[in-house]
Amino acid sequence: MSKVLDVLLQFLSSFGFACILLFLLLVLTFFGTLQQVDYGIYDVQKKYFESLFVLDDTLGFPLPLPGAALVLVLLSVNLILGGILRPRFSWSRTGVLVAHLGIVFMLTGNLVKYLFATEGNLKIYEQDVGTEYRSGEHWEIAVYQAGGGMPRREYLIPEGDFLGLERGESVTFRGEELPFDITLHDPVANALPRQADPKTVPAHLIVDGVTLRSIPLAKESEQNAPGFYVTVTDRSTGARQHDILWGAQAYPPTFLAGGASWAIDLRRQCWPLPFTVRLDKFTHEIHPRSGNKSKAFESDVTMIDSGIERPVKISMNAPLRHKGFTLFQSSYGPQDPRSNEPVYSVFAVVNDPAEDMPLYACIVITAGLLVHFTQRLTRYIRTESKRRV
Amino acid sequence: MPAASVSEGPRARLRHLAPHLHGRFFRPRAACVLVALPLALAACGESDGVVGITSSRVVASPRPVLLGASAAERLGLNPEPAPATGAGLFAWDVPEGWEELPATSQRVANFRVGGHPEAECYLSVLSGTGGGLAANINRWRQQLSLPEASSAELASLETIPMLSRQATLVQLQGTYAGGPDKEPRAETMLVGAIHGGEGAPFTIFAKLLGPAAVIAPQLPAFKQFCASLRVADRLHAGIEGGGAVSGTSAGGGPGSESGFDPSSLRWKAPASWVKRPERAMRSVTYAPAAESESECYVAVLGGAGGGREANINRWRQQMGAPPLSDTEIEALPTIDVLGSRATLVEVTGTYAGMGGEAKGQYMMLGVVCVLPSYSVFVKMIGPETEVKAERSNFIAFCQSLES
Repeated sequence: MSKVLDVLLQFLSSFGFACILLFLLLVLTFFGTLQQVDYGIYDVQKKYFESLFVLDDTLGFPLPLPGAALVLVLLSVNLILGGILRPRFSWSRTGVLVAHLGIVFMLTGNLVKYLFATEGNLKIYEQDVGTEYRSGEHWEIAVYQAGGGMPRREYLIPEGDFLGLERGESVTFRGEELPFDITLHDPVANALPRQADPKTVPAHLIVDGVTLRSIPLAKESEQNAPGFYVTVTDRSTGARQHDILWGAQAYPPTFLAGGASWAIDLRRQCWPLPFTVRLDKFTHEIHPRSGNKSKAFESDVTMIDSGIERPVKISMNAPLRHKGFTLFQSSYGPQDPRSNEPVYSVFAVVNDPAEDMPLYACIVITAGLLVHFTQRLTRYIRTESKRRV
Repeated sequence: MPAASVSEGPRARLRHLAPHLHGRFFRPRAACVLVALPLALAACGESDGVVGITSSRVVASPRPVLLGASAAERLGLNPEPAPATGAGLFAWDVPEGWEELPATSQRVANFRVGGHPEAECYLSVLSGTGGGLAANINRWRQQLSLPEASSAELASLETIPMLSRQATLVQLQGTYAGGPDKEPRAETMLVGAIHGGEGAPFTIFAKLLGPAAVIAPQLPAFKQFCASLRVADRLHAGIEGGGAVSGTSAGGGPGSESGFDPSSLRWKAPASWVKRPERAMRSVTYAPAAESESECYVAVLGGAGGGREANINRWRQQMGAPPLSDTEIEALPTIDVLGSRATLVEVTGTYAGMGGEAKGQYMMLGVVCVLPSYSVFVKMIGPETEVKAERSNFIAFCQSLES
């Protein structure tokens, strides 16, 4: 047994294994890129780069491959074991060791980003303020009092708890502070609501004369709008109320329970900003004689944090960075505004705790390689000098 | 620490370098716990198939909510065009000389005023306090290059009637720098009315803006517009003084043409019936007794409300009964309701309900009363024995409706 472990460790720390892993990363990148022709970038990323295993069919037959997540984990193991076990510890190999540590540091930064970073969009009209940003891919259900004042507490159900629901299944949610239970049932992966036709039997239930129609899934998964039927059960009276949740709904359904009006909101997952952004002015330049082609657009905003206001200009290559958040100028609308129609600016917001780790990793790798190459050069010069003498 | 020799295996080298790490590396029992612990923790979130809601957050951002809206309205399917209600919330009288423009995502009402391209009036609704009176007034002042108002100045502002309460009126004049073309416009006048306050479910902003020479004469029309604002159909009680109205208030609305005013709909319920809490889309809900499974409710929809035939067949479908042809529907009995012949529907069967839960031996009594601009629906549903016993009470209740 110990001999098997020795062989295994030898293999895991070997240079040959590192080459195999790097080759697998190349293959996954190649196949993933080809798959984007038929599938959206989000689905391909999930399938090839955020999975442990993938069954690829790019070549016309099923080919099982390790996913990029597994490959990167093994690469990290290889770097750590290879750095501890294989090299003989001497000052002459210090540079190589430092470079390896830098690569491990970079991989760790990516892991931190994968686990903890959030990305979304923030849309603000002129003279309006923004305090939170929304994901373009992930969903959540928020439950809150509809008629209450501000600030208000929202109770959140993450998408992992409801998005995997299959037809015929249901799930009930209960919050200790909520006077009702929420049951989701009859899910539709990509839904379009329509008026129920009394002459035909709908595929799904009818609520208030409206039913959900199932439509084909979009290539880009973020374009799908899921739908659910929801039943709210008052825990004290047992009274039930039914409604429909739809990802593209203009307003959430509201109902009465515990003497208050409540809303259940199926929406894109949103996160709060630790500061407020007010859009003071949006400027949009169009290429002359191009009709409508954008030349540049930028936003004059005021960042308000703890009562302190700071004017900032956010443009295409000049984002706003504050408290670990980065706001990039992403887009604007409406694309063809009528006179007096309010315009809005859209910012891409990224919160990445490991934002600076790649930079530090590169510095460490550079330092390690500099040390290594300097040592090699010095040794070469010394050897050559001795040889000539 | 002695250097490990090349001939020693990797495990031996590791043991030399980090003996405590080696011990932890190769302890299978510890590994089993590490694997089992997350699984056990994952199972703790559920009990009896119910998932606990454990995450919450305090937010200060307003959320757009349309209280009491039907599913069709919320989902953008409203088949009947709302009569000047702007997203179905309100109705109003359009002052003379004002041109109504399409509503936008930020403006539930939108007008060009006095025929001038730069003179506009619009209505916005924000949840909660919408930022507060002082903040909004001072933001408007800033747009007109004016200094902030003091608390004393804010307290002395005039108020005007708007939606059954007094709204704060602001009149400002200055150089406006907030236009889309970014060009400062001197001699600009802004008249604003803010309806809301602490604890209000939402705050309404009416704003009149444009060249002072055009806006000043429009002040009486603006006040008239604000006074004419009323709650539209199906808005649940959320505005103080509005009450649980079931239609537009009197004075200029479409209902006045037919003589039927949904907001003044009255009825006489049988003495034994018990009133139940208000529900969205319903003018009133009753039950034959406090603990009864049966319910009877009244709903008023604008226009045809989907049509008599469509609604009757939808009710029949809920009861598992086949649809009727137009001829068969014409042959159904009728009763006098609100001065009109209303179709009476009686169906027994298995009630599918909206949650898909089937209830056998149920009965539905329904009345569809189609008026020129509204449709009134009265529906009673419950166990067959209960509803059958209440048939005469149901008909009397329908015939008692008046406005």
